[in-house]
Amino acid sequence: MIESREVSKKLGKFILKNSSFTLPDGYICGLAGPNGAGKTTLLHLLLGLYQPDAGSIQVDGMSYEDKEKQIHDRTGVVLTEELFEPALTCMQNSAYYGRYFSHYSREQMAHYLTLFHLDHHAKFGRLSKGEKLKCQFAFALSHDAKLLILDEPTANFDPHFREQFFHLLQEFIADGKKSVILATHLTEDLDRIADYLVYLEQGSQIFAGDMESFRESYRIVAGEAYQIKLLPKEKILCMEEKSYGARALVAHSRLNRYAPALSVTYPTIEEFMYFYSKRNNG
Amino acid sequence: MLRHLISEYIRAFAFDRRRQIWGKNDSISFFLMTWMALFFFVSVFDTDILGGASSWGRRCGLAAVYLPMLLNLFSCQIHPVRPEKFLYLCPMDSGERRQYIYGTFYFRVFVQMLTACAGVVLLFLFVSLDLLSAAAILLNDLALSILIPFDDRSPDAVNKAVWLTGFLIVIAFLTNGLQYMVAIGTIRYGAVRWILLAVLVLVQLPITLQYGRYVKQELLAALQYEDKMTG
Repeated sequence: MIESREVSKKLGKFILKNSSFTLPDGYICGLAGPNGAGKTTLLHLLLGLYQPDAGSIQVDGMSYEDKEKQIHDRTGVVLTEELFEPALTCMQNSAYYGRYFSHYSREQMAHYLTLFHLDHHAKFGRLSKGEKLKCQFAFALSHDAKLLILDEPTANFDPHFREQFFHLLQEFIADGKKSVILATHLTEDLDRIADYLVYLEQGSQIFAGDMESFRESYRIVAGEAYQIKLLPKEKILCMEEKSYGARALVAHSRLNRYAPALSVTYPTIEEFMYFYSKRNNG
Repeated sequence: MLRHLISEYIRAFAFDRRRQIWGKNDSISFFLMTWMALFFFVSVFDTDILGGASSWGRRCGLAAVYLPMLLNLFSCQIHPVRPEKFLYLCPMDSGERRQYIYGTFYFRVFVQMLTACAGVVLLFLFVSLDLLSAAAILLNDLALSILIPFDDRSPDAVNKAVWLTGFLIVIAFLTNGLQYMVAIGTIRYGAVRWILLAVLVLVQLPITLQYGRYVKQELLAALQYEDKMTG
């Protein structure tokens, strides 16, 4: 289980404020938000690379202050940066870093490299961006990690491998004892696969909870603008009027009375991100 | 552990690795300019302008003085103090990470001093060198062997380090060149001896100690991925 309690971090002019969420074992958590929202900062805090200015982070009841080695031993990581040595091959890199991990398996690494159609003996520096991410993903799966933290991996995957990637993530959490945190701009991936959602915007946490609660908390309402405006003003988070009609992101409650002519749907994460960013940018 | 240190040291010379490090190291242009200046010094010291005729023995002696220094400068550029990001994500406690970072640094200094000692031994073979001059040359090599690349994560410290580094390099190359000229008899030792000694004690040692404090700060900062020096 991962627990973030009132975590704040100041980096230069950017401030991540009061991020709190709990992710139980056996679930995939999507971390979404526009550019500069603080996703990578939060991931760095969850990985122990940054120390929070306030609040605390615990992984399975352990904190980085005294159990850093144990936490890292069970955490698999894929980041946007190239983490491996360019002068070494995929297998050499895995052997080099794998010796630090108590559950690293050379055979598992070889299996995943073959599955991902990667040359075991190709130098890491000569691979394409997508292949490098696949290699890092293979390593993350090869040391029996309990937690996978993935920062924007899917943008560089071809469609075939993306399907394979999601299948592997679902297999990973199938035993109910492991978790995944996936940060991505491709929100349709999260709509599809995420059980939990943490949504950040300009350093503030807008939503943290399960996807069911997210969908129950908001609605996309489409129709005539005057009918949308009949809703309580404080419930209309953002409205967009076009010549053919209007759409709005609305904070949903059972007390809301929607006019029968209005179309009321659950928001996708993309729609939520679109309207919420529009609201903040004016 | 020793095998690991050796393989780490050698791997840094690989082309892909050098390209990766040089790509994020702003100080490479500084050191390239220094190398160019040094070749100028080398060619001046070894010409007839200073009244000494060149011979193979003396050229070997000159190489024995300067090649270890050039290797020092090159090596310190490709062996940064701060490990790669993934090593901060590998399971290591603080003691193990300290051992890795400090061990890698000290091993690099050790290898560079080995080459410096080899250079001094060769110098003994090719030119007449006394022990005091040999010690002075080795001290210069030690000062160069602790040089580290500038880390732009701590700009205030870097500004000061740039001046210290430049000063150390210039003084080291100048004084080693003068020691060489004394060894080949171009300069009367008696006249230069006290000047070189004074420069060593009054100028080089304090600057080297100050630079050593900077290196110590950088090594401590390297224990954490997040650089405390930038705040």
